[in-house]
Amino acid sequence: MPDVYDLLVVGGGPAGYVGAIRAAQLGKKVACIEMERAGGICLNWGCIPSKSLLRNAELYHLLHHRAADFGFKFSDLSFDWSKIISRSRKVADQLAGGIEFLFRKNKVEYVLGEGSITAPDTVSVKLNDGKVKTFQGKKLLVATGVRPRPLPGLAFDGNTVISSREAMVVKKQPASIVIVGAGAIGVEFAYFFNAFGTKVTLVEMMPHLLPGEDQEISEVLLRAFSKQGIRVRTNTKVESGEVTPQGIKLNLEGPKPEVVEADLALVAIGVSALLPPGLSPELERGFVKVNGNYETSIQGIYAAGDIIGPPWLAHVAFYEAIQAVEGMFTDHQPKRVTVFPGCTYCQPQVASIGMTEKSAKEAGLKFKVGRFPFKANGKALAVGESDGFVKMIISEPYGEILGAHIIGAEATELIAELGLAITLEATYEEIETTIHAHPTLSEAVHEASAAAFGQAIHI
Amino acid sequence: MPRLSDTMTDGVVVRWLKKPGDVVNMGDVLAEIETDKATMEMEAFDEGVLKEIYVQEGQKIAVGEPIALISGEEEEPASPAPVEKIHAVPKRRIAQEKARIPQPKLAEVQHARDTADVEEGYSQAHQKRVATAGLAASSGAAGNTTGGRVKASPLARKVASKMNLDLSRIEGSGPGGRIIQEDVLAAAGQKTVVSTPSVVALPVGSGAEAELIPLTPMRRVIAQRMVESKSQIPHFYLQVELDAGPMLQLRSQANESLALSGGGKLSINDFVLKACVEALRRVPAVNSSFSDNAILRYKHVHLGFAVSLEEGLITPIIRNAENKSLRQISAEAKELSERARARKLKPEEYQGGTFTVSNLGGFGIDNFQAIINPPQAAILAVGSVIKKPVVSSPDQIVVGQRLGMTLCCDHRVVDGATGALFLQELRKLIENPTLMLI
Repeated sequence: MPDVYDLLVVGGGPAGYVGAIRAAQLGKKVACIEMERAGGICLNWGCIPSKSLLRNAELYHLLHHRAADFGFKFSDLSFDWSKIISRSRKVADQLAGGIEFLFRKNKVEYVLGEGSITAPDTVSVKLNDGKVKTFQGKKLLVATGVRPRPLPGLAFDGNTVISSREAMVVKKQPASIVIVGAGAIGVEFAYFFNAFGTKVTLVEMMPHLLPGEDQEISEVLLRAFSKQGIRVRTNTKVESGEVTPQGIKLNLEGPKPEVVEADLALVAIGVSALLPPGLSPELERGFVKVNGNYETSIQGIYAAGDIIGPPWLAHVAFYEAIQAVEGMFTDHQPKRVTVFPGCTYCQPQVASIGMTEKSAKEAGLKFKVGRFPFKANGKALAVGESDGFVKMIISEPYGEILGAHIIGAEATELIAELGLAITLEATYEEIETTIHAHPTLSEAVHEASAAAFGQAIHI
Repeated sequence: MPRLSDTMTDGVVVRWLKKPGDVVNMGDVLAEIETDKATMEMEAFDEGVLKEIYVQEGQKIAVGEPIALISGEEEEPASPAPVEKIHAVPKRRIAQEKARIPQPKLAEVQHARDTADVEEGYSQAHQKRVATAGLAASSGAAGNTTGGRVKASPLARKVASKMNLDLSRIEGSGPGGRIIQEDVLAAAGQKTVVSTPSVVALPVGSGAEAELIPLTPMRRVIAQRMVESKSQIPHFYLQVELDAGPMLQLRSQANESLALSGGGKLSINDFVLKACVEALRRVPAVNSSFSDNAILRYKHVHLGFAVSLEEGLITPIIRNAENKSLRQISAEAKELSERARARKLKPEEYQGGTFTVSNLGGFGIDNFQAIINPPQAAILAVGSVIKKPVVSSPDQIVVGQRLGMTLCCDHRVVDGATGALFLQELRKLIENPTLMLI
């Protein structure tokens, strides 16, 4: 008779490892079953290693294109592609080791192998050495995540038609790449490859880059990308494509139909659920359907993270896993995600939280918009990052923050203040009466809040 | 009487589990209470001796009314005995300042019980020893005023101050019991700031140019009644498509002979109105209204039908339509419509309907959903007759004359099956129109 666990977690990504650790902190006996390496896409093939690549891109772009502005001269500025890639892998390795350490510290049993749910309380694991081991758990948390969705008619082949995972470890810098999908992943890779001189074409079906963001932000990003030399094709669909001996050929259908040839095609049009084998809970729009307690249609089986549908964000997965686990083992009433920040780490960076101007309008809300450009911010000018602006959507009559949208340097760090403001139901007055250090980029947030009511000082 | 469910307005004491003189400890079950949803146990929130029971078993009493008296043992010998009532602490109730009693004495408390104010207010001191049946943690004082500081978000503070609500009386649902906007709105008894069932001005889109059209009294009434209906009545919709062929045939035959005799023509709507009257007679549950304590089932069919006007619409009523023939209904409908368009209807000619028919067939609408005209329980939305292929009985595709309609029902009165039954009867009548003539 095998041991009975309080919780079996299937999947060791952001939802899985966080859920496992929190359950262990609550004194539960927990095992986390992971097929590949703890940390999931985020840590191994997503958020983290891509930030490493983008840091390289940002530095190179600065030195290559803007050195003269800062009074630097290079006679022989070059880069080592393989080192750029290996630095990113090292960061991922280091963090993955960190999770294994956290598992040991919290006494979470870490099981490497492919888990299949054979009964509502049983996970059978094909261990990496080929043996099969069965685990019994009082509760199950499914956190197996998602995988990239291929373009219809153009399957991933790992060489020419690739997903973000392969793009992260491309051995040789491509001379040209066509990126399909201008969500966060597409936009970040467009910036990355372009910064190093790869000819980039970015194709998006919707009318704007980063279609989920506020339209004004997308428009500013489009201008920045065009200036950087990225060819952007919005309102454009990939009609068909074929792999050629030279690379890839895509027929684009849109305002300007064209044939694009490139060494590589990176497809980043979305994701589909990666369900574990065995019992399958009810799905909704392709993702696991859960109730307010994160329980699936099968009693005792819970799910959290990407597998329960959008937004597919690591920080949302962390939150969901903690809510789900606390709901299972304490008297906490789990909450579902309502407001969450979204960040894109190209340059200029994009970060947002809450409602866009359009969604506030569609909801019939009464609101004011406050804007403040980084051009009028002393710190931004001093560090030479004066592109972009802060936009705040502020409700009337009480002045609570409905949404905030930032494009510019360090936007992804600046958004945290506004997340806290929304959670605390702060109104624009609390932001305005909080002293923001001078000179900082965060003063732009301060001023944008005041600007909504015509009270910005520096513009 | 504590509020044991969100929708509870009163409760019945099913059984007392303690009798006067019993010592009551915190958490003891005092009584079983039947609410609108279930029978629940009411626990004591404090300890003492159960002095008096005000509400007998089987008796119904409104939320907020006192149901029994508990006295603190240690205080008992004092004279006059400071007796505390087991009083309602309805969740998130806001006390009114005027009813505050700084140091309640028995006489005052008893006086207060006899006045209307008692439900709204009792003092802080008073509140300390109140039995609240499972709502212990929800009293404002316990939840939010540790050390005199009320934990509330800036937004909640602003909304509460605008609404003149006392934050210390509101239970917080945010992190650590912090009061957030939602709690204030719930306390105020409204879900969102904008959803008051009155005429609400929607925000004007920023920058959009618009012409200002002042509200006419009719537009104001329409706005008010439609918001009231759609926000208070649980609407549901049953949609059917009927074979209008036989009815059209009968109509052209009838109109031919009426033309010879100089009579007015019958419209499709006249047949629909007549069929509705007959179907309502057969399924009287649809000819009803919801009221707080009962369902009113009307004896007569006062049939309303919507007439569109330039500035809005009005629904003239064919009174006692169950006694009228197709021709009478047709003539009356025609006459009422004409006078409606001329704005010459008397109030009794458009008030007091028991059921309404809204026909947009003339505008080429195939089928649609309407908003119930309160206090009626249903409205029939009628579309146009359109030709379309239908599968006839030996699996042949033939050209059908199809009439789409939707019965929009108030689920408090009319259940799905009842509405369906009405539509079945309506189908029989429309598809076998000679039945209407009998």
